[in-house]
Amino acid sequence: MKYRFHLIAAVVGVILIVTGCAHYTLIEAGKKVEVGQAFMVDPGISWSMAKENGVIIWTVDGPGLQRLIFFPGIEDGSPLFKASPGQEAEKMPIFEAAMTLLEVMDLLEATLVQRQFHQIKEHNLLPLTIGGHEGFWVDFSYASKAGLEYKGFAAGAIKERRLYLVMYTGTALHYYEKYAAEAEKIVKSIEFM
Amino acid sequence: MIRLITALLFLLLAGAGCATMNKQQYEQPLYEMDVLEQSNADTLQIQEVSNRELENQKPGERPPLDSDEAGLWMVMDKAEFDYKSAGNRIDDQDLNDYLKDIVCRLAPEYCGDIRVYVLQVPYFNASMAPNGVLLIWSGLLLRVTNEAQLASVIGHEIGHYIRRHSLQRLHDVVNTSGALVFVQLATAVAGVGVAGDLAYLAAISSLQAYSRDQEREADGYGLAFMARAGYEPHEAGDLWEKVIQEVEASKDKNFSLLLFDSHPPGRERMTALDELSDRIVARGNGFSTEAEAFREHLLPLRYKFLQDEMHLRDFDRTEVLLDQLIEDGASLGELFYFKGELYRLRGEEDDLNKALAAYEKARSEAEFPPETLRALGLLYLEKGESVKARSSLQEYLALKPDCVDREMIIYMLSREGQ
Repeated sequence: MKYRFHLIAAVVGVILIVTGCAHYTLIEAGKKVEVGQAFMVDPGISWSMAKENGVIIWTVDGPGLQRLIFFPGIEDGSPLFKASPGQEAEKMPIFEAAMTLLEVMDLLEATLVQRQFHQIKEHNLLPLTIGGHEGFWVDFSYASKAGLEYKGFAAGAIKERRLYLVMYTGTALHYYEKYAAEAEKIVKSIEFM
Repeated sequence: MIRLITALLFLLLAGAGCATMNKQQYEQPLYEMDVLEQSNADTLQIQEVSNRELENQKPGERPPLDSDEAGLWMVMDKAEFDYKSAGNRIDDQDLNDYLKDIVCRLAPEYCGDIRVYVLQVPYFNASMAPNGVLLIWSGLLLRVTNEAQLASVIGHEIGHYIRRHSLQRLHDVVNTSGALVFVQLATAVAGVGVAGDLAYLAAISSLQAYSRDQEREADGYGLAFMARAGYEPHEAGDLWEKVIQEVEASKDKNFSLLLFDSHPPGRERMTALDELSDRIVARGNGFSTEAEAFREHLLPLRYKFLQDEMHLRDFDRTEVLLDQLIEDGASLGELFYFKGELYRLRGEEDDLNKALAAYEKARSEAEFPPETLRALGLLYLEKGESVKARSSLQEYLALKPDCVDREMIIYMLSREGQ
């Protein structure tokens, strides 16, 4: 029995590696959780969580449909995402602690371009207090490489020379709206650790 | 990654078949289309170098369904399907109509066969598929400064189409390397790729990677079409001169890879195009660059193209490009604003002062993007000059009252006042 369990675990492991699947864990509804040793948030509903490229991703229906991305404290001189394999690291825009919130917004757009987001349009840029710190909120839309339309928002703040950012995106048809209000509640529940 | 490796493999194979410089390849289309007169000596030489195994593509012609050419068309029909809905397709009606008009002016007999698609890709490139799909990247539209330059590239691509160079290359590659390489590449194109993916676009380009002699022949057609349509032919060589200057300043391998792996050496090309242009102009007159028409259609889109260019972060090359555009002189306020952006983003020693000077220069022009004032405001804030910062940001809000960052700027101004 023990041998069979190990065999199944090994097969699952190989499948995950071969298919490039992320490993998801459950975020349970109803109790506050710590995210990346940076925030405490109230998830509201249950989410599936995975880690990828230095960020933490929550989703309900799958990351291609909707996802909430936590950037848990980007250091001065670092990009928002680590460069993907084959991507030139020097092309990734860099966060600088001295940036104004407007410049952070420009950084976010430049980063999304490097991540192959197309037709990015910002709709609304507002000041916002996050976890007691001065921050910003922006709504935006974009198209994927294949032309699928997405909507999203991002909220962020700079605290002790680090950038803390949360971004929610989903397909413009149905999946953005499905959990946008839940994602907004999560942003409002952020407490810095 | 596999697709990119396959594409590069194909490029190597295509490059391996390159011939030595052959002036007649440039000249032949000009004689064929009666743009230049040939001497008896020319006729003899051309008969020796000419490869007329394949007839020219006829207007409205489609390949027989059981032919290898039909297979090529099928792969490119799949690619065209992707272009139609691609996230980076620029479907601006005015631009697409304008480009189609240039195609029809250059080659009216093929007007109904050629479909134009514009993709938002900031590199210099255009390509023509054997099924009549003309793909133009936004990076090309940023770099040409008049309609004649644009016509030189489009005419060149129509040359590939008419001479069925893709099919010629298919036969060459299958004869020298076996069919497997081509099948691999066609599979890559027909696979999961989409038009926003640079690797996919490289694979497409490689499927259409021509020999250098074919490129020379296409250059000749480009000049012949230009002359027949009344475009100033010297603009073809002038465009290549500008592109070579950029390549020499570039640190981005994608920039030169997409341009020069299959094309004739840049200097050879420039010299050949200039010499032929001299002969064309000596024989006729009334050639024009159509700079005004070009500006009317393209300048409204240039701001976005320049933003895309900045995202490449190949700053030394972009500086060369901006200097070329400044020399052309259209919408200088916009160009100096982006020069300021270049220095601000590059962030080398003294770049902040250079950025400030460029933004101020932009502001001194009759027209400039309102974002110049936003950039000036942020820069003066950084330098601790709060009076100038406040005045620039307030001016920005007045000039662009519906800007998306209005609330944030008002908030910043209120904080600055405390």
